[in-house]
Amino acid sequence: MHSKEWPLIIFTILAQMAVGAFLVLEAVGILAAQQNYAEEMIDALINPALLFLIPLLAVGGLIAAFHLGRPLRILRIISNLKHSWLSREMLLGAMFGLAISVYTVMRLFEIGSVAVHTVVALCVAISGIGLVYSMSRLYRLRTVPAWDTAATPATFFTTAFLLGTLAVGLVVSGAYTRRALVDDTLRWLASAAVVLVGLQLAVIALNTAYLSSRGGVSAESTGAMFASYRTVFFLRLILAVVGTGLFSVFAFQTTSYSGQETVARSMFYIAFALVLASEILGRFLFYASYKREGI
Amino acid sequence: MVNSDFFANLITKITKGRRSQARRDSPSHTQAGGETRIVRTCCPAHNCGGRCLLVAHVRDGVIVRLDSDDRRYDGIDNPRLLACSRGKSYLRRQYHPDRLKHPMKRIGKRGEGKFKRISWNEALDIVSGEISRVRETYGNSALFVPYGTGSYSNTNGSHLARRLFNLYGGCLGTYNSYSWACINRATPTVYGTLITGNQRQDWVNSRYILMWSWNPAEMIDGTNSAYYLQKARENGARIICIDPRKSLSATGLADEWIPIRPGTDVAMMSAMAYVMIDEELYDAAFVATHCVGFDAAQMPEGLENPESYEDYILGIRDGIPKTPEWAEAITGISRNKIARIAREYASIKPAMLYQGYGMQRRAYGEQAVRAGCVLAAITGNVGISGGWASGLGLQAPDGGSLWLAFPLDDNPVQASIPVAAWDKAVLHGTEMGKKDGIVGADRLDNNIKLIYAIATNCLINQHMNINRNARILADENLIEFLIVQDQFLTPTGRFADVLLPACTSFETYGVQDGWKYGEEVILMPKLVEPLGETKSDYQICAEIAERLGIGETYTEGRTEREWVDYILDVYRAGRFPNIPGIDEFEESNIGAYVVPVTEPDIAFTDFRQDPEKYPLDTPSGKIEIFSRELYDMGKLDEIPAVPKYIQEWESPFGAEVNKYPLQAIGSHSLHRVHSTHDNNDWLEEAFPQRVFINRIDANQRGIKDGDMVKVYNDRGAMVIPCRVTVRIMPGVVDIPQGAWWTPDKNGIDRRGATNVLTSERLTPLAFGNAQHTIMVQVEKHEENGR
Amino acid sequence: MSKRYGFYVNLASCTGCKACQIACKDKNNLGVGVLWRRVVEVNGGEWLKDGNAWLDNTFTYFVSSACMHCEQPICKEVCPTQAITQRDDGIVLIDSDKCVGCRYCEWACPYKAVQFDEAAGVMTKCNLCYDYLDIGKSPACVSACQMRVLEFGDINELRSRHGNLDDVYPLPERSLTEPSVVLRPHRDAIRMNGEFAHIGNQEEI
Repeated sequence: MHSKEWPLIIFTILAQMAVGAFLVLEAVGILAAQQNYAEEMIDALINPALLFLIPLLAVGGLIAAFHLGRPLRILRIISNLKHSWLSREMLLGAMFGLAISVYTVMRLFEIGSVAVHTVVALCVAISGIGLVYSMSRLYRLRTVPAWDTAATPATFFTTAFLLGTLAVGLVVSGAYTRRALVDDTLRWLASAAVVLVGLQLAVIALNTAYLSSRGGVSAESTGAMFASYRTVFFLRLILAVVGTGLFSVFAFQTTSYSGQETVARSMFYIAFALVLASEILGRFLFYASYKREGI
Repeated sequence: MVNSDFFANLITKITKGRRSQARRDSPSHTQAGGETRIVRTCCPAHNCGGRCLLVAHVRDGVIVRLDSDDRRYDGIDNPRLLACSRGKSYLRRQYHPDRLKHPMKRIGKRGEGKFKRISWNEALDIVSGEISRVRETYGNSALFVPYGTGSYSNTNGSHLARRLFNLYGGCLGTYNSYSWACINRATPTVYGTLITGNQRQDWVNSRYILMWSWNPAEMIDGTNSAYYLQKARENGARIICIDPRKSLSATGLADEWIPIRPGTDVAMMSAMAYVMIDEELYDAAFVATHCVGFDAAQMPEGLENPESYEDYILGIRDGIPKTPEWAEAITGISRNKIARIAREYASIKPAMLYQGYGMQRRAYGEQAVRAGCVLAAITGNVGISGGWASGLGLQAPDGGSLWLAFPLDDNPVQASIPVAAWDKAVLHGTEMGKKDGIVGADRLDNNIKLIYAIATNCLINQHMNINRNARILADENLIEFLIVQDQFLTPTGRFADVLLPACTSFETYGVQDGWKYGEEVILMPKLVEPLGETKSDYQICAEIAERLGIGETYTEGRTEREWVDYILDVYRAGRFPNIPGIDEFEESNIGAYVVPVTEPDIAFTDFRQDPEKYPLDTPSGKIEIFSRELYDMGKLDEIPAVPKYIQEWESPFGAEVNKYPLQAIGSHSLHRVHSTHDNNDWLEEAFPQRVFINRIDANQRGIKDGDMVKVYNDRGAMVIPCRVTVRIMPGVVDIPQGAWWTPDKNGIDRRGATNVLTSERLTPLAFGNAQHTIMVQVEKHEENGR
Repeated sequence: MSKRYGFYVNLASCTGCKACQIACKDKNNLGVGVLWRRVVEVNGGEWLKDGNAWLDNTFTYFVSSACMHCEQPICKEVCPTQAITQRDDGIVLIDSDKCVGCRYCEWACPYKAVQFDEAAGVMTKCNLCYDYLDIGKSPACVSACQMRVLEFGDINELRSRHGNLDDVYPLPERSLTEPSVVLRPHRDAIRMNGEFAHIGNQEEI
């Protein structure tokens, strides 16, 4: 039944991860600069990671395009910016893609001044946040009560940041830069991940309770979702906690004992895979909870 | 795990044309734009009870649309003749890719379904050769035309072969029908006639209507019958529907649904009579003057001793009073409800008890017919406006339309069999006599040796016990030659030796009348050319006649159109004195010629006024609650002289229940007219073929809605999806009849052909089919290897 | 007030025969899987054995439903390509040439009115047979109704004749999209409790 939504599951996860990863990278850059790390060191930390974002977005966008009945007409999607959040999503997605491409090129080839970089980075950040927000608004249809709650943007953003954090952690852990910077970064990321997963669990718990208590179609949505996918629901929670835990433990551990890097990196892969799986299942459940008012 | 369709469809998506394709697969978009002709015509109807007007749009030789009756006026004296889902979806049948387009002959074993295309010349030479060979070898009585109602437009249909054989020296005759054998036979035992119905415009005068086993919203018992009931209800009538299944009629037409265990209608009717007698609610004055056999004081002369109706109801002889408590255990209806319905029907005047045909296609279907008529009589609802005498209910004053006016000529062979006994006449016809329902002769002098099947699926699909039918037909020593003439390769067609492709009724001239109800004649002008090499049934039979040397006799030099004109002459000489000839009719494009009914005729008015002066055509001249004719047959166990509840030969009260605990019925669905339209995809979308089962029975079997289930008994099995529903009584399953038998390699039907489960045993008096009297088991089906 | 088209359905006497659904398919050449009008079967209730008798409090009714040509058409709001438009007379139309087939409107519409045409890759919907209206004919579904329980016309006129009821289960609350429809409920719709009702023919709609 929900299989037709797989392209959307993949697209939303990839796009949100790209936005999240970018924002996390920039935050890391700012923090590192505050800690007085040299600019080259920061570049060595961030630039390789930036390179991953464009393909991530491109793959997501392509998959989204081909879920359309008439993919060749995709440009028409931006024709209703006045009313449709889907039009806005498409526009913001395109802007984010364009901005991040420009930004990446500028950073890699050292084009433009720091000021210009900052302005462009700001554009990327704003369009990225706008993209995730428009994505979440798109699902807030008044005829679909289970989607039309604050939990939708909340989960989309926590997904973006959580996946972004773990993805960045994975990439930077292998970066050729100063060890102390990597260690610091991993510590920051590990702390962030713990907070994010906590937030996510809270949102899920509150939202489930809220929907059930609201009765009507909302309760039917959660009821039906639990009836069919109870196991998936709990698996998703466990994977998120275990994945984040694994990441945090090893992130702190590598920074405490040297020589653990290789073990830690493979653990980061596993942690990322677990959290990614959790988020994909979570998004699957999100679509599975679709139940519309009416017929 | 991105779904596989996703990538598979990629290329298709990119290369897609600019305009919608789904809307192009219809013929209207495959043709260059031309002039659109609007022609009013009749729905080919096949054998439903309606005759409806369709407004065909014809462009470039293709019918592109069928609009609804667009006449302005829509009063109840002359209402619009609006077609149902079947008529409205007719183009899916008309332009179905599986239409037969060429003559074919069999190349495999009979029934294997392997055919080779041949020319019309070769086909007709073979067919006429076999007809004359069988006649030479065995005589005319070895030739047979089975019951066939797949075409009804006069120039298309099975009667064309009857005329052919009649002119060629005759063939084994038939009487009765699969639809209403028992009601046709039993109604006259009470009333001496089949014309027991008021015209439908009178229904609005009724105050209380019992729709008993009657489902006009689905089987269409007359175009607009459901609409007249709605009007009656608006006029204040209370409508009760008694049916094991909450049909569309029970839902949309009735105020109350009373689920009843199939085959127990007479138990409820008897208990109602008990309440009326016990509480003195019946119309004693009417009974005294108009009926015989009600009580011991009213028995016919010389038969004072046998059991009267009252004796039976009160249990004087058998010691069993037919109380509501007694009936509750049999019918599954609470005693209070039975008593309430009895009181309502007896006291609200005038009232109708309308008998549908489902309850008489059962083991002792004759009893339900007679019992219903008796209730109508003892409540005094006979011969009055707003009342209803029950029974077959052909409409007053003359029984209604002709149904077919094409001249069949006389059959020189006198012997006739009940239509539903053809299988017995194939197996051991020469041993059949009066006890088997033979009329016109003491016994048959031949087994059936050649069958010319036109517009019929009755040899396999619609006859009881399909697996047995298939074995009979497969034996080339029994039926030596089988000609099947149809528009599709039906399950019957698969057994043909030669297949002749017929055109549809849209592809030749035809004419239809109101059938059971209605006062109209609807012209069917030829809309388009016959598809492929197809020809009308008339034309094919004419060409066979030519080869048999009776061409001129058969055609009388007429084309289809000229025959239609001839038939209009027949109507003009009878009930439609002012009907135009074909030129004017066609030119005017009125579609339907209608005589509005402003003062509906009431059956039995004369008799009601003065039973002595206007006696009925019964032995006593009165309403025969006790029938001398039946008494004289001397088989009181199965053919009692007063209507009785008799436990059926397969029932939930017999030992068979241990093996097969569920009763199965085959309702009439809007998907099909019998088996016609089973391959219509719009109708399968609207009314998918399912086994309908109550939640309680489903839960006991671990069956969930939509599961594949196996339905079986000793005679056969099917595997199809189920629908778990509250709309059917526990203990009963419904498999809408008419789906095309589709056996898999193990012989299990995969489409839901009800008749794989039914029994060929016939009813005792009418020799009618008892297809609804069957017990089955249902279980969840797990496909092997999955 | 200008004219706005809408439907009236007398559900009390609707038999669920689907002549409207099929007439629509014939008029608009719709393939299998595309229903511009559909008939929902609503069921509920239980069976109980009481001694020898079966008692039931089951209920059944049918709801024939097409596009409601809403005053606030959510399909139009969400459509990213502006393929969906609304005429002054209220008829909501979709231009298949502009549609990208994102199916967003399908998610949003609470009446299942916008239907994906798999073969063409675009959405399609009821256009109230406006070509017929232009030449003074009724929509195909209306003229096909054997029970004469389906009407169309100016919604204000229909409301003044038949009242304001429009949210019989399983139809949503009016406030969501302000549908242009008036219903007369079936007797079972009056006595049933929405919590226990369910759609009995999901596979058919």
